[in-house]
Amino acid sequence: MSVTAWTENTQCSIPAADEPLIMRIVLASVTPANDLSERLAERFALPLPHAREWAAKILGYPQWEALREQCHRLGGRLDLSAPDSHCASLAVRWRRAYQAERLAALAKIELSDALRLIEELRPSDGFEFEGTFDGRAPRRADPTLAIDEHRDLVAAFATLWRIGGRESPIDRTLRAVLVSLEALLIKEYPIEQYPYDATRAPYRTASLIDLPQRAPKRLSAEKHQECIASIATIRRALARNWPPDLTEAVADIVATLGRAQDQIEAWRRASAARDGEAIAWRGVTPEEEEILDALAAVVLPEQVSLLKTSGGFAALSDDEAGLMLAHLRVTGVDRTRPALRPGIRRLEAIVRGGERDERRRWERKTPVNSIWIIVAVQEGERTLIGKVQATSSAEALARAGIASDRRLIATTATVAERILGSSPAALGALLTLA
Amino acid sequence: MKAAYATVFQVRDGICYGAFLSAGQRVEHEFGIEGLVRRLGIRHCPGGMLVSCDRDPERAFFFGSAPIDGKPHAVFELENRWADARGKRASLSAAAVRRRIEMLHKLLAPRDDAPAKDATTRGFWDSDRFAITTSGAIGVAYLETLYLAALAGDLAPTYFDTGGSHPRDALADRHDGLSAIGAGLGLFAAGLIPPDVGSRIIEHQTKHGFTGREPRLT
Repeated sequence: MSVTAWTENTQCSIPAADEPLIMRIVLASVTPANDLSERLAERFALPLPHAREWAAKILGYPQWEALREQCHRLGGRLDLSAPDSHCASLAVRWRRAYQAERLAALAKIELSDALRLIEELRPSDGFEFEGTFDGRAPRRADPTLAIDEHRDLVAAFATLWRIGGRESPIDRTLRAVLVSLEALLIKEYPIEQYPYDATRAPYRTASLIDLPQRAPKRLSAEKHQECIASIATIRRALARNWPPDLTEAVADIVATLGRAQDQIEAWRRASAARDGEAIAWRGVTPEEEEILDALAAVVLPEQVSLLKTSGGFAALSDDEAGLMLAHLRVTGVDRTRPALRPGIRRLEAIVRGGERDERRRWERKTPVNSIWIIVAVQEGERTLIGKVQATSSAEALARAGIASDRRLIATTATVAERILGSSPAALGALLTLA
Repeated sequence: MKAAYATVFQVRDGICYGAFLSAGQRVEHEFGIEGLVRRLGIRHCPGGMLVSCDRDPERAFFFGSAPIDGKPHAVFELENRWADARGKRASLSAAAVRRRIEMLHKLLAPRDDAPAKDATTRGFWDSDRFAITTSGAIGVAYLETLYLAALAGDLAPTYFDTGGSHPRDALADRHDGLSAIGAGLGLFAAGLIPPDVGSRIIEHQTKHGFTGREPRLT
């Protein structure tokens, strides 16, 4: 029987993660792990070092050294695990399932036997726990929403955001909803009981910061319906019997979602009057749209999407514009065609702007000629030799053209004065060597 | 930034010509120091050495000194983004320098090696920047030498990654002319380098594949 099957039988499965879920137990001291090693050594007749490796693997570490290092990390520990006796039953089931799978693999025994042994050994129980980092009592209730349900929520939310996020006020409201949903997950899956990364995975994959494709200014009836359906999905997912400590947080999310719906309705009402008109794109004037479309018809297929963003020409980099112009040159496109000419001029302006910026960057990094003082050094003795105008110390030494059995250095007047102790008068009197 | 296992000033004939920041317990530099080199803007010099070049070094580097518990302390660093936001300024107050030094020292974690915590000269670095703090009049003078070299566009960086070896393997005596260049970051005042060390630095830079450029005057 697999871990997933076992946990499914116990009401709530371990979330489907892309990477194997690691139920790591973070301990304040190595003692509980040592105790577990001794019990394993006794039960399986293992030498203690070997049993330690087993204990580390069962507790979610690659090897004993990693566990020991983790235990020796000091100060401000936010991630200490609570023992099973302080945890919600789901967290205990996840832990035991993970530990049993590890033990079955290590001892080469059946999973059912491993489960029974883990129930006996209780690897993640019986150690001291001073409390959570923020002073709250560990949450003993099982989560109301499963991780996979959070994943569905995020999927519905992504659809809503893709459309609603085009309007800044709606975007702000939706961001508030997303933050509250993640906060809800963090409350239900606290760090002292559940693996931090795996449980937060749904919200980490919810990044929607891709370059926005050219988006219509108005909300069509069809997109409006998609938004309303997504909001309904999220509402349905949240319509549960929430425990008292989460009721207020969920009510806030539902209220914010209601505000987002009102904003979407208002957008639709404003758009409805113009349903019959041609689509107007956000950020791109109709004239610019024509120019961009003319260019899109002649550039490489992979460059077309760059011309279809809501940023228009403003979103193009000088490199991208340069590549488009190069392609037009190579393919011999008639650049004098009236429809193309304004677009080509815009691309050329972008390239010129890029070159100008690059030139400024180069100029900033171009060395200036300065005066270098040549000094002969031998142990504590320093003799000023002369001064040379050069762009670097190496050039100064080369231009000075001096051969000496002593070590020659080239430095600035400030170093000569402040570090080598030369007087300004002596520096002023130096001969120019080259 | 993370603490170097050991930070050693390179001194000959009483003149500091560089500092070496070794790799450390928590320093992981598998991606090299491209960000740092980009910020330094290195270029070729006659002889083949690569040195920093920035027309606005006062913005790129920061040096400050202040007494702490009656002892002179100093900090020299290639600044990070927040420095750009502050813009160019001539100097910081002694209190601000003290705060900066304390903040850098807080980067030392309990896991760091004991020499890094106990040393009077401490180096911190990563792929994008570095900072060195020191105490005592001599250390401050050494650090100022390096800062002045950086201001003059005369700072030569070197870098070796750990290559899988333990950082401490390379801790043979570095006090005398880089007799053993180990894993870590080197910062040298090009004009002050003894010739024998200079050739090793060039070899070091070449091995790492630093790519300098010829200045383009337009």
